[in-house]
Amino acid sequence: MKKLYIYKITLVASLILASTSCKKEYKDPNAALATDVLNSSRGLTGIAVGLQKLYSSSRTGVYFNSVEANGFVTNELLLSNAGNIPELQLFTGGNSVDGTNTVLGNIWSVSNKIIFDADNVITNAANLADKNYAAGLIAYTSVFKALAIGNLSQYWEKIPAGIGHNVGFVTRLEGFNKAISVIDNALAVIAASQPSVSFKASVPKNLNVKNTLLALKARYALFAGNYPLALATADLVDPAGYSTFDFDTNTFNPIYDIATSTNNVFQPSNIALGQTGAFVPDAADQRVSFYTQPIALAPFLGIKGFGSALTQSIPVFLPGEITLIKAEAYARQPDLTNALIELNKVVTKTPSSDHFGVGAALPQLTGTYTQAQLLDLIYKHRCIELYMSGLKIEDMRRFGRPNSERKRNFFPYPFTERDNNPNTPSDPAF
Amino acid sequence: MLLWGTFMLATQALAQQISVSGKVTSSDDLMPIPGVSVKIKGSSTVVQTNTNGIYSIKATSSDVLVFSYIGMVAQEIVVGSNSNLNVVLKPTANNLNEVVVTALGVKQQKRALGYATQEIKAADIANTNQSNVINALKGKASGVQITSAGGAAGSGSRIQIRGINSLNPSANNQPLFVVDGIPISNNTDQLNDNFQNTNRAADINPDDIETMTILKGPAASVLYGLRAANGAVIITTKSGKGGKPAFSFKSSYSFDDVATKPAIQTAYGNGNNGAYVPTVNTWGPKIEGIPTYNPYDLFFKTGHQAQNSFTFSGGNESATYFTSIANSTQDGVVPNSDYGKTSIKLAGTLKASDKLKFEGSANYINSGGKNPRTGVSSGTIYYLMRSTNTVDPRDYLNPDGSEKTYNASIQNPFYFTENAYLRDNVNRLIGNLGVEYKATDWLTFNYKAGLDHYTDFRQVYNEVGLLISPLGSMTEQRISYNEINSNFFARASKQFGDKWNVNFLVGHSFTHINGTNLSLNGTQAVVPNVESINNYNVYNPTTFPTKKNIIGVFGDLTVSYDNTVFMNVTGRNDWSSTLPPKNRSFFYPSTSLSYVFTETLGLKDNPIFNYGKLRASYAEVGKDADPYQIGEYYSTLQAFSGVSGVRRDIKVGSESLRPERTKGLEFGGEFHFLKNRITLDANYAILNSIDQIVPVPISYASGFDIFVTNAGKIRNNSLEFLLTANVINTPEFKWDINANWSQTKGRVLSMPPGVSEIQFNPETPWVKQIIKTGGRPGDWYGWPYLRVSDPSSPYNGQLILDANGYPSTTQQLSDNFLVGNAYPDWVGGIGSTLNYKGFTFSFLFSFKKGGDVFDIPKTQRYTTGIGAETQMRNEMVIFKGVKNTGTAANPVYVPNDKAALIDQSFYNNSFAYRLSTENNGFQDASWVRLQNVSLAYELPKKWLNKTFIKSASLSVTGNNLWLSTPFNGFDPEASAYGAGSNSVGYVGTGIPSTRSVYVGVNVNF
Repeated sequence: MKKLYIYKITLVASLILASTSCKKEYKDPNAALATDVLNSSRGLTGIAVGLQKLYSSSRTGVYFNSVEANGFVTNELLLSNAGNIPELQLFTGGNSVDGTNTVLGNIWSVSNKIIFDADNVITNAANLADKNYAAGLIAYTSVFKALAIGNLSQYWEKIPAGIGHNVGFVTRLEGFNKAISVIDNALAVIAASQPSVSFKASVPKNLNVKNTLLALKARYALFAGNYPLALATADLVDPAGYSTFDFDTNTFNPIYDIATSTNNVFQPSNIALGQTGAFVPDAADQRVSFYTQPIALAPFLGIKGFGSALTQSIPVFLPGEITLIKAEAYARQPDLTNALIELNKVVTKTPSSDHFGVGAALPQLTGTYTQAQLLDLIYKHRCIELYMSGLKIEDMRRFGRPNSERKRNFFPYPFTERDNNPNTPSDPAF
Repeated sequence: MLLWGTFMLATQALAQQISVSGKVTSSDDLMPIPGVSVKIKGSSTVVQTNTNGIYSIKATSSDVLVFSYIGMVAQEIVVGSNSNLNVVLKPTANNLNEVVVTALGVKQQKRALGYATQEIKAADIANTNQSNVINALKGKASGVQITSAGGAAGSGSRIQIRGINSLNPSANNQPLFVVDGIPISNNTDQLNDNFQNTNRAADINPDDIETMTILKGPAASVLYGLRAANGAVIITTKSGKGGKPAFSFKSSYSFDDVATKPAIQTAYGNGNNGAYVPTVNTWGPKIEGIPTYNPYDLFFKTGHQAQNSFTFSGGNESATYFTSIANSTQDGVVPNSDYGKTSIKLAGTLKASDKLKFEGSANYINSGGKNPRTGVSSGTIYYLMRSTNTVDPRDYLNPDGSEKTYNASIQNPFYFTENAYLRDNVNRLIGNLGVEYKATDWLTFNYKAGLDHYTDFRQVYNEVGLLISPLGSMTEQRISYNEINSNFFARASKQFGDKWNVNFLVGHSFTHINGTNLSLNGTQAVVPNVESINNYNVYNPTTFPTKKNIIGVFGDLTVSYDNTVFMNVTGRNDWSSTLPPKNRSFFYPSTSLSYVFTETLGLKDNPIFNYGKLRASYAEVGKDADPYQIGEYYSTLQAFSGVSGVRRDIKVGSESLRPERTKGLEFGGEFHFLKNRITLDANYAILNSIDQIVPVPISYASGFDIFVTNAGKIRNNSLEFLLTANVINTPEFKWDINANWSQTKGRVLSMPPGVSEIQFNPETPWVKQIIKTGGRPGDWYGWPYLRVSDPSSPYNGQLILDANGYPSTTQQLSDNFLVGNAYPDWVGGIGSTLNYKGFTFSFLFSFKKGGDVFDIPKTQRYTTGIGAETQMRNEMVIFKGVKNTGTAANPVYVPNDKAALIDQSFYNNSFAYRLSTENNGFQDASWVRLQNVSLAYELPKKWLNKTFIKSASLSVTGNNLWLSTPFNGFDPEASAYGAGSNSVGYVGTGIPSTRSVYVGVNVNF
């Protein structure tokens, strides 16, 4: 009788033993395994959608951090709370900015992640049987890969040459050219097979992929100093093809969510949008009241523009940017006549005639301008038209504005990169 | 176990025997003790006392009877002509035959152990009135560090034995908690840094505990396997004794307050740059004729704890029972905070036959309360630190109930506390069932299965309109944890000849743990002031189920010779489900030797030095990974713009992860002098932990942030001393002193290839806590001042002041500039107990030497200008140091004569850019603390003779009454990152520690 207990115990013990030998139980059941994701069109689509979210939303997204980093060092933005250390560093500028800065760390790390996953999608999409679906995947993810490479190249003198262990670095000029070749590849793929309707239904709808690719190519050609290519590409951009990052009640407009609604991170510097001297917006410029609004609390001037509501969409590029790219490319040829024609399109544009409501509605510029004068005017209008879009620091450099006008020219590399990749270049002095 | 082999051998009948009988009672309560073995010395004749403590044995007049019982001092009495021998046994104290509970609940003679253990008795736990058992160990246990997360009602405590042995910042470095042979959870389910969540061992009712044994090293805990890689705390709960039912009732009530607070200045009021503005700052005009307020004094109130417990136990020859019911409630020192706990326990044993014994217990606990939100950059203490001195913080409500503020960027701490908090409600069941079968007199089988199941229902509420939640938010969380343990072992114990004794144990264990954390987060409240998860516009649900299985087989062989030399070998193999199949099985051995050399030297009866034991051990123990560390994953995203996506996790885990290993070498000794009046236990341990499972930061250009791999080696050296002295021992007056001292030094011997440092907390621009090769866990790195570093210069070492006369820094958070270490150089405690007639007076001082802490809100007190340090302002100061009159390349130093203005901007920059953290952010948190002092009075027995009351006592106890420290701030004990975190040394953002006075009454009947 007593022995029976022991037998029972032994039996229970061996049952327990036998029931616990599942092979995969060390793998996390709460998430999808990478191999499963990369081998299905649904999985690849999921990554593609994820890339847009990674880029455009939240405090860690590239978009928010780019607007913020760029805005602080180019005087577009005022720091609301000195307790935000990374923001304080950027607002102070100079040597205060160091490798601990999480704003910069987010741009760096999230951009690299986007590039890695875009590479995964582009490589694995080629294995899909449905070539039209694959074309859609490749073109869509290329938008984000180009944006990621472009953002890195805007802020750092050198950028990782690719993805991997101890990767080398290439110059930022090579970076912009790489972004262009990513776009060229995508354009070639969609020229060969039209993205399928079923693909378009599986990704956020308001992204006109082809037009965005062209607009970004024009932007990065301009940044790379390749003005003829910038002009030729800008001419191809369909003036009626708009693209936006959309938000909803789960995924918020990051500018509104983090800065506007809290009044605790940043606000516009002043009514001149941080511009000084000849670059101060004209009194009648209606874009100022588009981008800013009075608020009841200090600093009494608040963000409006594309950060004034929780679910407001953010344009991927503005129609005005394309016009200004043309104006600048002409001016640099120099074709001053055409440059002034293009510039005047932006100067006289009324808010109601612009898809996004950005319009200066100023009288036409008349008279004769030297190339230098014209470039100054183009710079001024870029700063106003493209306020808080994360592009001003690149403009300041390209238009030869002195370092004294900005708080930092290039950024130091994140410590995590320096500590773990021996090829990390040395930090710039300013 | 060793006692086993010594009895129940064949009996021999002798001539001229008489029958001797009597009663064995305990000196404690004069109650009979059943089950005492009464043995004729030198023979194998043994009998046991019955339920009423009565024995009867046949012996000759020259025989010596040995009365022994676990936990009692054995007595030897010559039979002589007595046929009636009543014996009173005393509980063991510093006794040679002291028995300690070791792994698997096996009771072992302390003299046989080859490693260090320390036992804390029920009275010492009860004495402190602490409702969290971990806090009851403060200052008592050597080599054990206890850090409480502060004074919030129900706040958790962290316990660490010796050093940390995992480099992984999120690894569990706390010991395994084992109750009656079955592990239980001591998790602190801390999901963010905003709350000082309770550690789950706090659920245990301290009045249920009979003893707590701390197994310090791997040798001690090898039989519990990998989960005891950081040591183990073995709790044995009370059980019923035979005889009449016993009742006890204990009640106490406390007064708690925050005693140690940072000093403030009251010379200057609200404002900026000397002028009044309703700002956050206190840089305003000189205060003249207006009242000032100390927000720290006004905010905290007197808290109270009421504890009541009732136990009822008894039994007969074949069955015993123990029941307890305990309730404690706490009203916190912060407004709107409370905590409560109710525990009901039922335990029993049943002797089905001489060979078969069952035991079981069930413990139900309900605990939880309301906790204020704290946090590093927003939270109760953060806002308190930013309060100014000319505004009454108690006047914070407008007539319409909205918050009255003088500045929109801060919040009133009272208002915040009332509108941002956590409620939690834990329901827990701990139970076990065991059976012991004594197959023969030398072979026993033992099986025990246990369950620990709890659910923690939490609600985190942030009212609409708070700075942290302009639109309001709420999270409802259901955490559930389920642990099943099954232990089977067989023990054989046999004596060979007179001197050799062999014990062999072999067993199997199985552990299954699963947990879920289902959370629903709602944002954008529909209607303000509705504390319901239904009241939101946007929801985000998440769930994180985890599962883990561990199977172990183990063996343990002990051979002893003449009760003098003990040798032990153990081996264990574990299989863990968290590791990849090829590495999931791992074996680790241990061996130990102990030698009671005083036996050999014949010093046993020496009046000066009567006992000496040397011990040595070597042990290995493995440690697995947390669940789901391996592989590359994509997590699904919420639907976004109408479509759903996935996101790659930033972490990738090596597919060939191996278990971590700790190899420990330990030497020690135990020495008793003056007939055990003075005892000393000394121990030295070296622990090498290799193959650390660490998430290492990798180049972002790899596409990932973190790679989980095996790498790194860390060494911990620990030195521990325990001293007890029985200074006076008369029936009327007793005086005992005990002291402990310990030191642990960790050193990182190697790091993962390509990783130069691992951060133990997010680095700030001012300070980081990192480990790197050659460094120690807890090392702080900061900004150094610029100093002359030229040995040939007469100014070598002096500050280099900038053109404006201010000290300057390297402007880089230098990796090479070590500013301090968060771990103490040594810790210790000295306690004493005096008994005079019915009075017992005891006290315990605890000491901590060194340990630099970073007081996070000190920044607030400097930049806002309320800190007492900032009263020195608007003065010109010539800093002592040199200025450079040459060039940067060819410096020429001359003594500084440039006066610098000390003003608001100086203090504002002080933390960031001007004064480095070299001395400013860090403070030495050494302390001497009166941990516990207690006076108890036992009512004279004669007063109670006529009543049903057997004994009664009254007591007054104080905890943490006095603190002496160079630190300026709240009590530096309270860690900022909670009981579940490995980040030590960050302080100041949690609810500060309190001091408490308890009055109590204890009645037995």
